[in-house]
Amino acid sequence: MNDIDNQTKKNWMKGVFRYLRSMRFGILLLVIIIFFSLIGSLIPQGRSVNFYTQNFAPISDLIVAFGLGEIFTSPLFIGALALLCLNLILCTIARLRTKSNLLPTLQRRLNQLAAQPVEDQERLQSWLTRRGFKAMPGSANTFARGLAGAWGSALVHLSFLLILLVGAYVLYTAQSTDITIFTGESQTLPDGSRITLDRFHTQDEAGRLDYISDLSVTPPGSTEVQNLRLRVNQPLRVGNYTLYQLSYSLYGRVVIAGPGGSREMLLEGPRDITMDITAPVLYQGLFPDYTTEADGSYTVSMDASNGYPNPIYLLDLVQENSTETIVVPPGNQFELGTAIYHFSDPVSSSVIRVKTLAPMLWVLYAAFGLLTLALYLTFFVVPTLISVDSHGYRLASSKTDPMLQRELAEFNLVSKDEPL
Amino acid sequence: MMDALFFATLVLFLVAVVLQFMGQAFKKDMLLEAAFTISLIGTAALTGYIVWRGIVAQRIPLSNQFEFATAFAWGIALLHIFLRRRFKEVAMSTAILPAIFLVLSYAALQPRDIRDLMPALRSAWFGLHIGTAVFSYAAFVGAGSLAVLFLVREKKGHNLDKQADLDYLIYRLIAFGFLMLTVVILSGAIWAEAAWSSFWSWDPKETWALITWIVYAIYLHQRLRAGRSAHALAWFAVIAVIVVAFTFVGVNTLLPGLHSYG
Repeated sequence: MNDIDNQTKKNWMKGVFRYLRSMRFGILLLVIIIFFSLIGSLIPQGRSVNFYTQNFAPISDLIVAFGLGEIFTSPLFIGALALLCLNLILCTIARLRTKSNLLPTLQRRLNQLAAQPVEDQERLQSWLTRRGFKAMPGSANTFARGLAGAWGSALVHLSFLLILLVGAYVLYTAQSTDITIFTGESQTLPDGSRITLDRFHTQDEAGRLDYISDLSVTPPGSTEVQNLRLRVNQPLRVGNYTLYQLSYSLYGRVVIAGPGGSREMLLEGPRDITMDITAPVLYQGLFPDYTTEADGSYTVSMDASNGYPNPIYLLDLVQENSTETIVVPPGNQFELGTAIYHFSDPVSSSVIRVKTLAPMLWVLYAAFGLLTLALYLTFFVVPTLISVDSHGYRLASSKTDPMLQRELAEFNLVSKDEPL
Repeated sequence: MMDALFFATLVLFLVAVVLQFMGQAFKKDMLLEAAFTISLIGTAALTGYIVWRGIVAQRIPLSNQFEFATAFAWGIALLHIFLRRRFKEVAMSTAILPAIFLVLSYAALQPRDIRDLMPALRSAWFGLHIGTAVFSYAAFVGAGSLAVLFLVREKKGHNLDKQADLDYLIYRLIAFGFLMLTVVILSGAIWAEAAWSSFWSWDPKETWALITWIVYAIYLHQRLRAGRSAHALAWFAVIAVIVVAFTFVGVNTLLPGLHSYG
C-alpha cells in the first residue's frame, strides 16, 4: 500500500514538475503578463488616490482596492514573473540536456530515413558546399550546416532568465534621489563628493536646445576640483554615484522696494507679489522670447522649444475696475503706488538625479548581447545534416525547412549545364 | 518641392495598388507588370525623399510620427521588392502593396515640419533603436499581409506545397521581426539608462513594445507545438499586426508618456 502511495505521489510530483517546465505553462504566464501590462499601460501608475478618484471615477475604488495603480510592483505581477523564471530555469535545463544530444539524434534520424534518389552525387555534394554545408569530420558522405544553432533556444531561455533576474535586481534595488541646485550653489553627496553648479545652459555649442550643467566636482577626501559637463544622454560617474541631467527650472527674480524696506523674491509660478496693497501686482510667468517693435512695444513668443533666449516677465496690474497686463524685460523696473519693482535676469536651477551605481549592470548588458546572439542562432542557424551516397541523399534537420526540401527534391530536374 | 515628392510617392503607390488589384481580378499580366514597375519607382522616390529630408534636417529622419511612418512604409516597400525578386510570386504584391499605401497615408496625415532633434533624442543609440524598429514593424506587417494571402488561398484550395512555403515564409519574417524588436527593446533599455537613469520605466511605449514582443514570442512557441495548425498561425499573424499598429499609432495618440515626441 505504501509503495503504491509513494508511486502515486512520485507520479503526481513528476506531473507537476512536467507542467511547471512546459511550454503550455510558460505561455499561460506570458498571457498573464500581457494582461497585467495592458492594465498598467492604460491606468497611469504610481499616482495618488485623489488622482484616480478625479480621473477614473467609475472604477477608482477598484483601482485602489486591487492596487492597479501600482500593478508592476504588485505581488500578483511579481509572482507571475517569479513563476516565469521557474519555468525558464526548468525549461533551460531540459533544453540543454536535449540540445547536447542533438547531433547523435540527427545522425540517428538520418540512418532511419529512406534515401531520396539523386542522379549526380558529386554535383549534389558541390551544391551543398556552395550552400554552406561542410563535410563532417570522419564521414566524407555526411554534410552539416548550422550545428551551432542547436544551442540557440537554450541560450535564449538562459539569457532571458538572466535579464529577468538581474533586471529585477537592478530595477528594484537602485536608489536614487533628485537634487535641485541653483547656479553657484554646492551640494554634498552622501559619500562626501561635493558638486557645485557653475553654470546651467539651455543651448549646446551649436545653439540647439539642450540641458547642460557645468559642474565643479570635488571627490571625497580630496581638494582637487574637476570641472565636468553633465548633459542629457551623457551621465557622469562621480564617486559611488551616477549623475543624470534630469530637468531644470527657471525662476524669475524681482527686488521690491518700498517705504518699509526691500525684499528679493524668486518667482516660479503665478503669484501675488504686491507690496503696496493699494496697487496690487500679480506675477503671471515668463515668456521665452520677445522682439522690440519700432514704437517701443514688445512682441512676445510663447514657443519654449528653443529654451528661453530672451525671457520677459508677464504681470497683471490690478486696478479698481480693470486689470492691465504688462510685460517687463529683465533689467527694467516700474513704480506702482509706493513700491518699486525691479526685475533681474531669471536664474536657473538644474535638477540632477543622483543614483547609486548598479553593480550588476554589466551582467544585464552581457545578457542583452547573449539574447540577441541566441535569437539569431535559434531562427537563422538551423542544424541540418545531409548524407549523400550511391543510394541518394537523406536530410535530417531540427526544423522543417520546406524550401530546402524542395530545392533538394528539384535538384534532379535542374539541367547539368545550369550553374549551381 | 520636398512635399511634392512625398505626395507623388503616395500617388504612385495608390496607382500600383489599383493596377495590382485590376491585374489580379482580370488576370492581365501587363497590369501586374505595370503595378510592380510603378511600385519600384515609388520605392525609389520614397528612398529619395527620405535621403533628401535627412540632408535638410541634418540627421536621420526618424524623430516623429511622420518620419517614422514614412520610414516604416519604406521598410515594407523594400521587403516587398525583396520578396518579389526572391519568390517571383505576383500575389505577394496584392497582399503587401495596400499595407505600404495605408502606412504612407497615415504619414500624410501627420505634421511634416522639420524640427531639431530634442535633447533626449540626441544619442548614438537613436539610429539603431529606431532603425531596427522600422525593419521590425515592416517584417511584422509583411508577415501579416502574407498571412492574409495564405488564408485567402486556403479558402480557394490552393496548392499545399505553396501554402507550406508561404507558412514558412511568414514564420521567417516574424522571426526576423522578433529579432529586430528584441534589438529595439534592448538598445532602448541601454539608452534609457543613460537618458532617464532607468533602463525600464513601464512607460506605455515600452510596455506595448514588450506586449508586442510577448505576442510574437507566443506565435513562435506555438509553431513548436506538435499538430500545430498553419491556419490558426496565419490568423495569429494577422491579429498580431493589430497589436503592432496599436504600439505604433495607438500608444502615441492615446497613451502619452516618455516616448511622446510628436
